[in-house]
Amino acid sequence: MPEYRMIRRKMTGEGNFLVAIGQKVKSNDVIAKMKNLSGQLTRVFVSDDICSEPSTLQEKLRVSEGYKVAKGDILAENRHFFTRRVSRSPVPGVVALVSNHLGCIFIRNPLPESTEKEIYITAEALNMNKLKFSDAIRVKQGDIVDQGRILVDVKPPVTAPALGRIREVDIKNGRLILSPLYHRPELVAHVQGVVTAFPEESVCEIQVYGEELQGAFGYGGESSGTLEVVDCGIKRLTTEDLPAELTGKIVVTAGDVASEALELMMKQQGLGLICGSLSPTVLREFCPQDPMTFLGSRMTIPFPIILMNGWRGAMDKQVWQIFQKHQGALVSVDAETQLRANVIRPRILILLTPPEEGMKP
Amino acid sequence: MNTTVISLLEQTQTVPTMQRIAQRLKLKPREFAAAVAFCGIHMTLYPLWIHMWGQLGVELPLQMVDTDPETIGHSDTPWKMIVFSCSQTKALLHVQTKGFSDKPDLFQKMMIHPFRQLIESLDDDGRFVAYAEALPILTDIGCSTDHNVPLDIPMLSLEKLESQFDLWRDWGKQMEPRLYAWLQQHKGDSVTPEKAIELYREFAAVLWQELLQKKIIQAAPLPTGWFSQLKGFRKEVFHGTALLQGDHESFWYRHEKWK
Repeated sequence: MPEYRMIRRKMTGEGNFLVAIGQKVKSNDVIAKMKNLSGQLTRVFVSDDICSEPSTLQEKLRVSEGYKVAKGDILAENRHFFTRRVSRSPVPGVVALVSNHLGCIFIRNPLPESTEKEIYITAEALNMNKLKFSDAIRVKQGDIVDQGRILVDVKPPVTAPALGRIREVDIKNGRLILSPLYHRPELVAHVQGVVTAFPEESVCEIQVYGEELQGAFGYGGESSGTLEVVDCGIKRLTTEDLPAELTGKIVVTAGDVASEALELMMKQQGLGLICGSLSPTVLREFCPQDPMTFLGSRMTIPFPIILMNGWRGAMDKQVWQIFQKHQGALVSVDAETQLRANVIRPRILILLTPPEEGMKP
Repeated sequence: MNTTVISLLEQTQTVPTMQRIAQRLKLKPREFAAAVAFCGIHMTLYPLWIHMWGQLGVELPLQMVDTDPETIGHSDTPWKMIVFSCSQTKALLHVQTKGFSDKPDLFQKMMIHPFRQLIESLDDDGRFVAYAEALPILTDIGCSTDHNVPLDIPMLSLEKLESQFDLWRDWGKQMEPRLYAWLQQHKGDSVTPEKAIELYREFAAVLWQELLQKKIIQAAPLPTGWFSQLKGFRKEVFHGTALLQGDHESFWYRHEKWK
């Protein structure tokens, strides 16, 4: 049933909200700008460094969660038996987690705001001939590299300037292309509604009016677009069933989907897919990573996919009727899925025009 | 400087006092050597040293050893000793002094996780789980690397040491006026905390040498030849490393404020 709902939007890094309480937001509005993004986690075995038991770590800590540290800053200190032992941070960052059980601290190294432009490393720029350049390359196409990893083993070595994926190793032309894996340093509303509160420094609550549905599994991140219900019964959705124009649309089908249809959706810049099921074989063809391992936002695909019923079977009749009822409505999808502790299921929010009394702030 | 600290040794009558303590404690020779290092020099003499110099206006740091690689590795320091935790009920003490286990990098090596794990795994019979990375350190401290052979280091119960601690405390009290008198004679104008700590180290080293020479303690240098590896020769010889068994954290909290 449609009703007023509170949607929490959270920044993943330090930043500022660009909206105020009472402000109306649309789904494509940027509501926050982040200064930096959460980067890699570095584990520091603090208890080992200071020769102490994990159970007594808390009293020896000099930092707490959320504390900013520079490289070399003291994390913990032990002064037993006239001996000073310290544990220093090997990287700059923010203390993300303190484990009193393992006796270690996790430091998150924030990624600086960066362009999404690809980084080109060429033999020409390094004053090398192409043969030597190809010999010195230490990565292969598809590798995900950390910032600082050696890409070309020359003197001095050429290292990755950012966390990214090796898009291309072109030995013939003496070229290496690195695609930075930075996410957008902006937080988009993805829903339309009214900002009602900021319960935490990094969280914004938006009141929306609509209907919420939950899927079984999801792949990819968040998206919002117009609901495009494709009624082909419970049979497999093929390219013939898809409408000619898919830009800005989130396609819904009751059954499963052919891999050609997925390819077409990608070409036509569809914004999402909600289907009854999708066979693992089709998913494996379409996804760059193993779909059995990389669920939710960990899978990098062009648009989010939500499976309402799992790997096989059609969508529940009642759910299908809800989608049919709201054909053409604005829909917000979040494919985030986590199956272990703190289970998260993908969410579909059909955003509707509020009743006549207007939106309650 | 040696002559200076020898005069302190004579003035404070430390060696005969140690002889008396040895007779009363009735510990095995190498256990007594470890007890002298830990209870005597580390836990009694150093706090007393801080207290006495404090009365003369020289404030010494409570931490004599800093495990920072830059400061721990000075091989010319005459006396180096460290006590570090390996588990809640096991702490290891390690002594290095002139001619007696002089390996500056050993301190850092001993604090690595596999070695601490090996010590943690020790049972009452000295049997342990052999961790590959820790085995070379066993050789460095003069022990067999065969995991079927019990670890040959003295094991001291902190509970027992604590029950005998009054003897060390009494020694400290005896030392107090004598040490104060001597320090007043030798304080000079330019004594810095660093110099005062260096003087303490010199005194500890000289005391150790004297106790060895008078055969009050047995702490032979690390074996260097095949002959010295013979079992009979190594019996009851303290190689600089001993295990302290018991709740060392609470032991420390009870004793850290002693003056």
